[in-house]
Amino acid sequence: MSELYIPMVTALWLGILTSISPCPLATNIAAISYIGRKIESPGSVIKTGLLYTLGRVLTYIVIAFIIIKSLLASAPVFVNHLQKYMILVLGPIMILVGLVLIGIITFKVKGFTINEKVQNKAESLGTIGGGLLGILFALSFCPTSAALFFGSLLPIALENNSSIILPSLYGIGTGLPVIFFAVLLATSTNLVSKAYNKITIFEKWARFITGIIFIGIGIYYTLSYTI
Amino acid sequence: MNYINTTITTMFSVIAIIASVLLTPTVNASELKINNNEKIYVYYFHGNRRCATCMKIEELTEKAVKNTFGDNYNDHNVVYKAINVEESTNEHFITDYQLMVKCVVIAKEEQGKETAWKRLDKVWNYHSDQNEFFTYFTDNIQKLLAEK
Repeated sequence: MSELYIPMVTALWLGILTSISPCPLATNIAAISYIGRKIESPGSVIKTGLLYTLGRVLTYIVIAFIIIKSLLASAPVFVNHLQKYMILVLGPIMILVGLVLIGIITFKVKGFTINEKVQNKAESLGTIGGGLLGILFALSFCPTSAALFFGSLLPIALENNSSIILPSLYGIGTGLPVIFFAVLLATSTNLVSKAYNKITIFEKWARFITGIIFIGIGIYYTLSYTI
Repeated sequence: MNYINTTITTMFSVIAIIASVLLTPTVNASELKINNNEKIYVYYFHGNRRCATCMKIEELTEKAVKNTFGDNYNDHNVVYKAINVEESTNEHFITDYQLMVKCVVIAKEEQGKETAWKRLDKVWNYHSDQNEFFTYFTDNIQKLLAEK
């Protein structure tokens, strides 16, 4: 284990480097606004942030496991398909999430609009949504994140035969800056809203702005890569 | 006072230009010994999605080719190509050179047949330092040419 210390620190640092590089900036902004939108409950922000990171961690573990254990006939073809096709679906999915967040698309259960109980379920689904968002964004490799994961992390993981620990630390590294800024955003908005005594209105606006950010970034990706 | 400032600025600029020229690693093309029956291919591979770093690497690769083989590198049996591997006609390069990352590949052809190649994955580590990038590129070209 001790001989893994340097690779472990390197993996964590590569993850942080991926997160702060300009290439995945748009998806990170979306993730920060999604995680930080629940300004009323800091616990929910942390929970969503942790699930977001967990989603990323699981994705990287699966990809690293597939490649390190040579479960595919051609890893380069798989990796390139991932980079080529994920970006095509990213835009439309983000638009859809944005439309749900601002309330243009609502869920109906057996012909009725959602009641309070289902509403609460939808809220907890929103927290789980953080995990799904983590998976989606981790799969959407941009050239820089692909270079850092496939070009820098995987060789180290291969060398140390580590298909779980090193990819996990890399995933944690990609989530840390996002959680940090989401908590910062939520806390500062919470303080401002408390000062004006309008926390509910602020939270509604936070949800609306998050939706608009998702739609905006979704349109950008759709126009740039899908159409 | 303005005259002194201008003179000092000009002096520093001249020193900076001389230093950059002296510090830029240059290799005489003749030292690389590309035989008449040999050809060197330098590929920069990219996808549909381009980022600022990718553009920088592409720019540096072409500069490195010119720095190593001169502006008329074509005359030294050197071919430089930027290729989009996400176009169906170019997908074969992914398996040919085991491309997991968009990077640079250098290949040697002898009598019309590819005999050796090297994938330069570390271009991502050197994109912020032109001199290091050039050294990395030239070292690998020399290794490629030395391969039998």
